[in-house]
Amino acid sequence: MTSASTLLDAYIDVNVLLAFTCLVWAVFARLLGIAGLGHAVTAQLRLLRVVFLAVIVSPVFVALFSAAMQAGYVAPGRSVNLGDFIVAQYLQGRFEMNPAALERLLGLRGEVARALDGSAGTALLIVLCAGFVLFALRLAASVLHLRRILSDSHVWRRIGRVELRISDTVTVPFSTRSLSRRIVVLPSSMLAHDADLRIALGHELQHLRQGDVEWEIALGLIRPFLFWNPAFYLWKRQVEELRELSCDRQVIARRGYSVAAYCDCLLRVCHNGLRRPRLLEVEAPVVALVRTEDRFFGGRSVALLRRRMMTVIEGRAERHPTLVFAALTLPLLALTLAASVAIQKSGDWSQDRIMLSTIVNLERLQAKNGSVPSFGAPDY
Amino acid sequence: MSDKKKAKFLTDVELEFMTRLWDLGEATVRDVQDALAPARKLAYTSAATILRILEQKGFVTSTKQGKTFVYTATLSKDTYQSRSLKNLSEKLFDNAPEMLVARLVDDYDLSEEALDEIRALIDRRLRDDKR
Repeated sequence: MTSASTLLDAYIDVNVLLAFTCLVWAVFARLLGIAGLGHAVTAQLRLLRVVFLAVIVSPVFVALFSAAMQAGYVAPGRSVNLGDFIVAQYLQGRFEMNPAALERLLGLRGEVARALDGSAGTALLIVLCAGFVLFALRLAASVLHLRRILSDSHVWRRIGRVELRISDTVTVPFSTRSLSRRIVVLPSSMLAHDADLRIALGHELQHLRQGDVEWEIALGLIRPFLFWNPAFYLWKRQVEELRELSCDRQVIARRGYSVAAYCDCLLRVCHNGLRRPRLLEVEAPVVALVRTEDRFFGGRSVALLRRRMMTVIEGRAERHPTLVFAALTLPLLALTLAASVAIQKSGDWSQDRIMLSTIVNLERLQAKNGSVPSFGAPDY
Repeated sequence: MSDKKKAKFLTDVELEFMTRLWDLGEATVRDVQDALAPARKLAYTSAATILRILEQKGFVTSTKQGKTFVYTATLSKDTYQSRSLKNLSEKLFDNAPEMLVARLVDDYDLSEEALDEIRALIDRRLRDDKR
């Protein structure tokens, strides 16, 4: 039972931390823009991925940190707790708030846990499990669909562990992978357009080089666990956008394609993709040249395509992406890991917490008995 | 995933290639490439890929002559025309070929000669059936 509650706590912590890092990223991205690093998309992409990885493994980090504290490797004073920090700030008069309201706010997580202990908790668990099953089934269906597309396609070439395939059933080139091979699938209609074929192939091979397919598969596998968390979708969307912007830039820089030909190719593929009903109806673990959603998210695809083309036309070079990535990673990673420890439930009653509780009790007494005369007051 | 997959119908590009191959009888990649419209500007590797896929689909066979492959169609143009029309009739005309012919006669603006030819064809077919 304890391990189940520990797992649930870890699950809640990951979700809260993801939402927190999403907020931090929004501020961070704006600051990067102000600092003139908005165009450093490759560094930003790597940074986002590292932070996401840190969020996912944060329960392990927290467990190691608490084990290190218990073993005496970390002094108790070095630990940070968000609740304790807020109480300390409150007692020092850094912000004003009703003490009872603050205590309620700090105890919100415990309150929710108590409320969920009964039938409400069971109902929520059922909803979460049902959502997990639904999203896992969607993933399985998309993988089966993908397998069918691959089995209907024809091998064009094999270069080491990369396999190039030609398919009659797809209109948008994409890359994916099996356990042993990385696969690029190109529409057969593209064989009639040499320039487009070269650009699409270069783009998909760059995705393979950047490890985008493996990340897409990992996100697809994590999705059923975090399906209800909007922060996950915001994160994924940001990663997808940076991934495409980074890929476009690298392909043009490496292979020297003409910007006009590249943009023309994107537009043509997008146009062809919209002509036929989408073949990958549910999100499959693939990385496509362009997105062609035509239902609820069509506007988003258009906006992304526009941004990609504008970025390519601007043609601003990204200097030293690895250096920028290294410089930016440290503060953001430290903040994420510190936050993962800080959002843990406070173990003991600190002096500050006892003080806050005393203030709340005194206020309650005052409300019950009327005002208590203090020393020096006229009616004392 | 097997590399040999039979398909019943050709894509647009494949049909263009097959049309050239039906005209040429047998041909190398270069022959087909030369027979395509000059504006096509198709790379040799792309042309070779298309012919290889046609072979995988079972529409052509190849024999090696020296260093080059010579491709030959495995089905005639007539057979493919019949297959395509049958498919069209089944899918779009509720499996009623007479509806297909009626649409063709109504909309295609056929000349007197063409109509006479069709009439003669139908008469010949009716005579053959009576025998």
